[in-house]
Amino acid sequence: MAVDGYILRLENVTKRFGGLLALDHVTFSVKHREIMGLIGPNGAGKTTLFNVISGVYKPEEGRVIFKNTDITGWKPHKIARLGIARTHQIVRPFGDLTVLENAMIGALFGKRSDEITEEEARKIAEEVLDYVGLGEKKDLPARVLNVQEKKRLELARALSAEPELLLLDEVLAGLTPTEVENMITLLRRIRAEKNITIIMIEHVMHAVMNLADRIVVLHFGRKIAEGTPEEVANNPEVITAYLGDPALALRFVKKFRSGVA
Amino acid sequence: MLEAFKKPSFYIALILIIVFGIIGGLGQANIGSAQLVANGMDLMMWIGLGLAMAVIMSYAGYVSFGHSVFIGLGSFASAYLIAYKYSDYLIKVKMAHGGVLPAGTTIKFFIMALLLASVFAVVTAALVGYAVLRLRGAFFAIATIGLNYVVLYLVIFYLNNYIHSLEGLELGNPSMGLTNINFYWMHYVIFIITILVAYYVRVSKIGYGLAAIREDEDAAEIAGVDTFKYKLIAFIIAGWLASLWGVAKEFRGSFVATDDFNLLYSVIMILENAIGGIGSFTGPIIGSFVYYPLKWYTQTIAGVFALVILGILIILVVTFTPEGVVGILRRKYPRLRKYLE
Ligand SMILES: Nc1ncnc2c1ncn2[C@@H]1O[C@H](COP(=O)(O)OP(=O)(O)OP(=O)(O)O)[C@@H](O)[C@H]1O
Ligand SMILES: [Mg+2]
Repeated sequence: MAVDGYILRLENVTKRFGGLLALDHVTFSVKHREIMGLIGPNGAGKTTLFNVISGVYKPEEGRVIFKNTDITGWKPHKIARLGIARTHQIVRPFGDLTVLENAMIGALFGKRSDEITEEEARKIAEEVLDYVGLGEKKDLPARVLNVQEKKRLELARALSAEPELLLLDEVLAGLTPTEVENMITLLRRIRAEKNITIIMIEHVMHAVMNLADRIVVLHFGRKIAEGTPEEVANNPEVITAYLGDPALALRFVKKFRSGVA
Repeated sequence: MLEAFKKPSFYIALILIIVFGIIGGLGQANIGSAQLVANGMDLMMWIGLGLAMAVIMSYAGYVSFGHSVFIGLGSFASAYLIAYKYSDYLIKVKMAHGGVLPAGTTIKFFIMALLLASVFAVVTAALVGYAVLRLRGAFFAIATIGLNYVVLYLVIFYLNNYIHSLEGLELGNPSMGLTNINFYWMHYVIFIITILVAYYVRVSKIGYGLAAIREDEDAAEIAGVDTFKYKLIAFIIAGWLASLWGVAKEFRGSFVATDDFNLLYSVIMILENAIGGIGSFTGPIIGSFVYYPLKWYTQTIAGVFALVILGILIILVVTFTPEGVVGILRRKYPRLRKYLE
């Protein structure tokens, strides 16, 4: 953990795709062990921001600082080994490999990749698969899983890496309401039991309002708000850009505060 | 590292090593037929070449279409040593020993050829891999075909201008006075090296990394796999193993250094992996057991049409069984999976 209590700091991160400004001087910090929600309309630059953090894209401007190390422009595998794991918005299982092998790859090449043995990796992977509820499926090829299970597998592969920072890109999208509730329960457990910091991109509002300690709102690549769920939900600019109906937005806040969601 | 060789999936490798050892033993004791020894040798080579290709194609998902270049480099290394550099010396030693080269000298030169072949192959694979492994899919395959021809013409140029060999293609055969059973054991040594290395790469941490690359290279990199390093390691090992088979071919054949750059070898290696199933160690082995008898019979029966049959086989395999024999077995009998690594 960094001395100042922040595990990740983004400073003026700017990313262009040709003429499109996908990220426009985005600056914010994430505290150790908090859950940071990242919301915004489609195409706001959320996934792009994850791609910059995990090294898929190099930003044209700005810096990414993880635990006092400037990791801007590092290769993805080096960033992964430093302790940042992520899931993909569009699931990317290693289809031909078994569910267990998928999770083992997370462990073998994650935070402890230099020292971990195959046996240890297998043990961690099995534990994590039980944890996310895929224990029974561990010997199946990942390709045969359904959407919900593939989302869980993404999570399992990321958790098996034993990361300090976990980036979740819409793990709730495409799930049925019951599945969403189950996943929220799982994320709560992870937050309670594991020494982990999470940034989650999410369109399912009640989930993110419910889980996040703080929220950053992106709009056309710009950060338009940052604060607690209440502050964000009451922010006029956020309501116009994203939440739409202010009454609805406030209902979200009330709902989760009264513990209904 | 030793744990890898205690898994059930090693049984198949072990059985092969024992069976080919027995065939050699029978040949040595003059019990088996000469034909069995010759066929055994062929089969070992096809399995070995299939496995060499598997390391890059089947494990990592990169089809090295010009992989014959490494067989050619192994051939060239042996031809250069035996038929040119030490040719006079070998003839002298042979004369001094009543027309038969002493076993010690043969073994020494066999090892020297393996070492020189390894150096050629590893250096080439490292340099070229560094450049072309940034390409994906068909572009990588095409680049390796280019590599095959570039190296072939460099070799021909060298032979023409510096050795003045016959049409730049052939180096005189010093006729080492070796028999088929000697060649058999040479094949067997290379066979064991190939089996152990290819198996280990598959089941070790490298194998997991390569499998991830094959399935989704970008996701592998994000999961922490140093994809470029792993691909380079796989390409170097695949090239190195193929070069050893170039040495085997030259000792058994006639030290014609340029024949082995034939792209047909690449095609066959690819076919073996396609028949057997992508992604596994057992795949190319099964593929060889399908391909070799077919080739043998078609060559005997169909003569020049053997190539036509080969072509038809490729089309059939790609169209009807893209998952290969191992893929089908694994799907139908999941419990076999632990034996079919
Ligand atoms: N590789 C790329 N090349 C060109 N443009 C891109 C690329 N990746 C993203 N973009 C563009 O950048 C913008 C931001 O995309 P991004 O995927 O980050 O949005 P998002 O906030 O994750 O949206 P969603 O909620 O739909 O997932 C979009 O306009 C998108 O089309
Ligand atoms: Mg997105």
